[in-house]
Amino acid sequence: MKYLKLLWRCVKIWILKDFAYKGDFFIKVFSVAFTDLIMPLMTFFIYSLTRGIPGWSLEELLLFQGTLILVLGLARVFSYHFSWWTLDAINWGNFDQYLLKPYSTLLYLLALTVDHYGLAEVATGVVFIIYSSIKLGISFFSFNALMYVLFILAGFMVILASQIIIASMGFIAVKTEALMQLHNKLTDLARYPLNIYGFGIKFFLIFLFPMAVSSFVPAEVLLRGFAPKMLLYLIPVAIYFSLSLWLWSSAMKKYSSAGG
Amino acid sequence: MNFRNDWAVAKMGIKVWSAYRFESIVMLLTVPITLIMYFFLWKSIYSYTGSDVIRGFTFQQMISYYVLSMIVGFFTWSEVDRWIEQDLIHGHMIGAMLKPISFVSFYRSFEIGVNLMNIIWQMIPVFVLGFLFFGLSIASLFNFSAFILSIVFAFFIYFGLTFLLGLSAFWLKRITGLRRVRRVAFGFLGGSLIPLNLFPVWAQSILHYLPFEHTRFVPITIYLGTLSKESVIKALCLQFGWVIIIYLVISFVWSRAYRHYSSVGM
Amino acid sequence: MPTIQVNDLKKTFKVYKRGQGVLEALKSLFSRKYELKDALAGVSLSINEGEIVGLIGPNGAGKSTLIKILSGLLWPDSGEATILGITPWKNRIKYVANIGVVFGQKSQMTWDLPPIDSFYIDKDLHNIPEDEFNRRLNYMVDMLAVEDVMKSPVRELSLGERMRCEIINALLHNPKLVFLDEPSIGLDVIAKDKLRDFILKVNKENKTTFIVTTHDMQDIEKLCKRVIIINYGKIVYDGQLEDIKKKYFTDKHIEVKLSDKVKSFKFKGCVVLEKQDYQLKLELDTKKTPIQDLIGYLLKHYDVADITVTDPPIEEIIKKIYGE
Repeated sequence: MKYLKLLWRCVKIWILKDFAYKGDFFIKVFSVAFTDLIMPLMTFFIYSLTRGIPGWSLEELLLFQGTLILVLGLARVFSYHFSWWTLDAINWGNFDQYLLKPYSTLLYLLALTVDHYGLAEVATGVVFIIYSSIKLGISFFSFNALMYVLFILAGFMVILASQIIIASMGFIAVKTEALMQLHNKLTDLARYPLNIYGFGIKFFLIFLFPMAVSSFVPAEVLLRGFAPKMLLYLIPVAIYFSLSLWLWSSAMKKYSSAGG
Repeated sequence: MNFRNDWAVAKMGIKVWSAYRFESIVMLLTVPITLIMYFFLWKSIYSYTGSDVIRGFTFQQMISYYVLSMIVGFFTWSEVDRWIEQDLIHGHMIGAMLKPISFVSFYRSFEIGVNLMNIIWQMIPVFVLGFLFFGLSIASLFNFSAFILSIVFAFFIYFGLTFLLGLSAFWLKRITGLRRVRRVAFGFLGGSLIPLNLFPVWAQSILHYLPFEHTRFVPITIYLGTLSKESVIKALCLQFGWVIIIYLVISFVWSRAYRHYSSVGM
Repeated sequence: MPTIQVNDLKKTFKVYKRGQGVLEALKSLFSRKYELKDALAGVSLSINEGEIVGLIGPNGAGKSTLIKILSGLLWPDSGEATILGITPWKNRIKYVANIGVVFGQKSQMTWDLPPIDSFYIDKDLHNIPEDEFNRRLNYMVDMLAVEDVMKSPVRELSLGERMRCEIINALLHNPKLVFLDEPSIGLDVIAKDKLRDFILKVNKENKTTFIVTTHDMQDIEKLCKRVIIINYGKIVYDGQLEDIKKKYFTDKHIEVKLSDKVKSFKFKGCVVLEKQDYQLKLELDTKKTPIQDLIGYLLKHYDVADITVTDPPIEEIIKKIYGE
């Protein structure tokens, strides 16, 4: 309960701070949405000139990408700023204050770094999802839709886990901005359905860096229907997430024992 | 023009780049990931569509396009809008004003220094990568030389546009959002994410009146050799024209910016 | 020909206002209110080569504005200034090559690089010959003890370390005129001393003109023969420090420690600043009563354990002048 209160307080502070730079606030909101629009826009261009990607019609691909944008948006709201913030705190030597709060350090930092601009991204994703599901006649009052939401949450967990890993590395190594760059480029791979890739990348996106659950799996569920064996996709996600938590607690232990 | 002063500031750019060289090199290492993604994407599109040519590009040309997009991107990249914003916020602007060099020259020479390093550490490696793995080749000596000239123009155009955006910080103070839009818009509208000739025809005609295509698309197509010799010369002249226009706009806006700075006393 | 000749400088700023709270913030999205603030209301002065002048005044008095205009960073609304033969804001690039400026809070060195790199950049920008550069650099590095400090990136330095490097940065090209804005801030006592010696030495050897803005009265005492006091955008005093002292140092502060409890104290020309059970702090206007009379009276009528006589702190004197 106290985490929710904390969350609300942090959101209020952020908004007030941002309104001070009014024009910039609106433009930042716009820029987030705009950046994500490029992806579907490219899809429009491709489909107007060619047959597109095998197995996916224009609307289906838009649903796919809309889902990815939604997941990225959720991740942006809750975790994107977190890694930057943590790394900065470590670099400038004022991380200790977070160990002194009566909250779990990780949850405190996550609440502190909630980024409301991500909502613009979430909204963009939702727009494309709704547009394409209308065109495809998909109903959200179905079991498939429930599973769809489940996989979206799993996708969110993957990106959250990545941010936690990156932040943890900040305690161990020095140059972690590089990891962030790497992570961003790797998430780009999730922009297109798995069937275009060779075996190597498919394996990577399903088992090692399970981004497949952020776009491909939910879209498949909604479009072709749910099959119980799809739950197997969640196993790499669980492993990846546990890895991130383990890394974080090791980093915390190392940090506190070394005296910062 | 005082070249000795410019070179001194360029050296400064080189030194600061070296302080951040690790980040630049990692950017380089992520290039294969992006290229692989586009490789697979277009491979499946070309084979599914069953035609060898899409809007004038073969599959190999399309892949080469993306390699060149990275190369041109590294060469023409600029962060000067962020520097200006940061300098204004933290009061470092005074440092720039107290140096016996014109404000524009200061930032431009710094950028040139940074980009000299980018050429060595990013552009050339991607060229090598392209030749070895992605089938990049040289169309002709004429095209290659024209390409070199073209990317030099592209550099000044991109820098100039970004600089103008940076100047808006004198009025707006915070331009973080605008900068984000800039990064994406300049690139996308310049054809870095998808070739401009794949845009709808009506969009292409609008873009012809804007400077963006000259920062990416024009140099890339010059390299690929898809244009006739006359078109190449014409394109180079247009680019040069844009350089002149942009710098005229910069002198005008800069004097207004300085006046505003002075009246508000940051 | 004075080095600095300033006539009737005036400068008014637009200050944009922003309210408190979410509602005000939302309103500010649609309209911007601003106030006009007079920073300089007609400042004239004249400074000769080789002077070290202290510029003092309360915060907001116009000191920084004046310095910024004199260093060519701002334009005045009206008035003239000729410094080293040039009007600073009209010919910035040429002018700036001959001056050095140190702003207390704002760094001019590149943040990510060690100061030594910024020094070399200045060497190139000002085209300083190699041997002269090395000589000046070694001399200053030695005097200010920054041999090790100058090799770490600026962002890792403490304020004091950074200030010492900033001063070197400003003096490397041997400028004729140097503006120092709060130079001793963040320095410990020893470093402050070293810095002041350094300024005095540079001034003596090169006849460099210094204008020092400071709140530290010790700086003024040690460095400046001449003091300019500015308040509300106008100069309220321009003259020798000695004269201020003579004119205003008529008060003395006396601290008396007593063995008996004291109930009340009254004496001609004397104001009780502080009264505790066994201690009195008094301020005596020596124009009204000579100090011997007070001391004599205290010794005669009280059981005095200790007496200390001091001048009032110079801040108090300056405050009095500000108030006029």
